[in-house]
Amino acid sequence: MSNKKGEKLISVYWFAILVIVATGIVLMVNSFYGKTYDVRDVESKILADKVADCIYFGGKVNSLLLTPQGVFREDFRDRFMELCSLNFDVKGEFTPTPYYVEVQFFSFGDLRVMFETSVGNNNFKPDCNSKVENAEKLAKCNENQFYMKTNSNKIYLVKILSIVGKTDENTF
Amino acid sequence: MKILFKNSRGQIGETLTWVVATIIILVILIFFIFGSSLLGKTKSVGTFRESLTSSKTTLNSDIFLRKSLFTYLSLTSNDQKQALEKKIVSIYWDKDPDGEYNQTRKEILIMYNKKR
Repeated sequence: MSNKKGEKLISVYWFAILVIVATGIVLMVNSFYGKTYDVRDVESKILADKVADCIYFGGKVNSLLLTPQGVFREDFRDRFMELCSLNFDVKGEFTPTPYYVEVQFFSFGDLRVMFETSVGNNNFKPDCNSKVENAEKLAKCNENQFYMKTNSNKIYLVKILSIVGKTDENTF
Repeated sequence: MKILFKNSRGQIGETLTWVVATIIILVILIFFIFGSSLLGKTKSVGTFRESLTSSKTTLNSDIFLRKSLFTYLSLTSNDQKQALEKKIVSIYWDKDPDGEYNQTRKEILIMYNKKR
């Protein structure tokens, strides 16, 4: 009689262990596969590369950026998205775009801003200077710079700031 | 009475074995849950999976450094060249202690000479 009781107790114990182990496995799988891949850093780098190639490629400045006299063209600013084949549209009519690009041209010697243009959602810009602990919930910023030479032998420092928001899709 | 005492001692021993086994199972489970959660945090491409995004894997070198070096090589004035080289070095020297600057410079020089 007492042996049977013991066996019953052992069966309940085994069942409890089985449930605990199964729950543990579910938790493990969920904690790994439940997290999404955060590719915003790479996305912002690709965006910066694309803009840089649009401005200066193979040692040649985009002919639509400067006039033959070497003056920056205002219509490049207005048609920046179209001329650089950028498309920041996202699904959903009233969803703000999660991208932002800012390009600044500095004179070589005194580093004065000679021309600048920006497109996208500039609400993410403060995220770049924010130094909080949980930074993964902020937009990813990438600042790159390079020197370009125009046909009139002028040198400019080009700074490109590219930001990708998408905080809802990449973090939780 | 003696038999009863012996039996209870055996039962205590057996129960202790199961208690210890349960604790070990729980500790192992908690360890693996914690491990998988830590691994889950590394799913940030760029910060952790560098091999996917490193300039060495994708383009052999930094695209912005290449552009700057192309500008440097296309300059005709030596003064401008020196000034620009100083600026480029100051930007990229801290960034790349492995000597990527020198390597890229060599590559661009070969490319530029071929182009000419």
